[in-house]
Amino acid sequence: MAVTSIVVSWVPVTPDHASDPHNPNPYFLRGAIIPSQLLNVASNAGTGGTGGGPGGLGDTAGGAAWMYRKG
Amino acid sequence: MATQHVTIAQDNTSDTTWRAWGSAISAALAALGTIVQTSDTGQINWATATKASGGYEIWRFNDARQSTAPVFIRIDYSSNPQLNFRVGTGTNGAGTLTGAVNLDANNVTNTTTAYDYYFSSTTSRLTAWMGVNDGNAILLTIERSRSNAGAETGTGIIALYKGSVHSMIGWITCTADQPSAVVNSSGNWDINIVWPNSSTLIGSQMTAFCINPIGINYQVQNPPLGILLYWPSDLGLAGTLPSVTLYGTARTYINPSANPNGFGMVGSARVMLLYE
Repeated sequence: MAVTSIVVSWVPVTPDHASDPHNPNPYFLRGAIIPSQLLNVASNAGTGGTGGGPGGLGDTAGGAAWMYRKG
Repeated sequence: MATQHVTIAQDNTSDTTWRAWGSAISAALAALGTIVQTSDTGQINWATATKASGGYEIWRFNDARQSTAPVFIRIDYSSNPQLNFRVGTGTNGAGTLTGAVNLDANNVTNTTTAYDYYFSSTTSRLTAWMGVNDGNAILLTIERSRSNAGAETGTGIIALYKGSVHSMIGWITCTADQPSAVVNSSGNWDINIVWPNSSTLIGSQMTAFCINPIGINYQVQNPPLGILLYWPSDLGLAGTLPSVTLYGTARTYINPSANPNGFGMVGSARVMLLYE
């Protein structure tokens, strides 16, 4: 079947922090993340979970670290 | 908005054939009538240039924001044939860009075969797919940052680039007190797109995917318009595509060939190019 419509998947930045680039806005993307509710216990960036953290999310920088929502 | 479609032989056999290749690219950019070539000294003279020495051109945006958030593009033409694009926020008047991100040098295939070159542009955007059927094709879009309504802003410059050697997402900041550039040049665009691992077809509907760069405050930025990706089996090549609505506006995209693909994601994404 020939494609007759194309929809776009994208990530809108909400609210629009681009309008105030010098004021970092923690509420980027949809939904709020409150910094005090995040922990990064034993979340070592690196490869394959060495050093007690899960690590190794597969990004090209060598493995992202993790944060866990506390509350 | 302007488009140019030309066929160009990427022939490095002699200075004459090399000049024919490079000057055809330059002429297509000029024919867009949108971005403009600067008066920087030392730019290439297509009547006398040699492939051994190569040469460069400096182009710039030509919109109202150029006075407060300038965008300059340097193109180096070299033997092989090779193209190297750089994007910066200023020039010293003699060909050296300031605040520049190097989108890297890429060799296109040396051949007498004439390949398709597509360019689309406004006074504040340059989008190109150079050597469509060449496995070493170069694909790029250089445009301003956008609000979440799609309006251009003077906050930064977004450059998406896919060449024969590297892929890159570049963000160049136009404001103070921020990292001057955020560049992902590791060869993949893998962390800046939410991507499926299977077809997106629902009946006759398919989904295309934007690429969100990382920029100000190392935060996700609103996506550029020039390039969309899609699951390779979802869409036949070189057909007439239905209009694509992005930021609330219907737009025209093309997908003239399978190259370049292989953006480092599962299934090797294919590309749509904004062509208006």
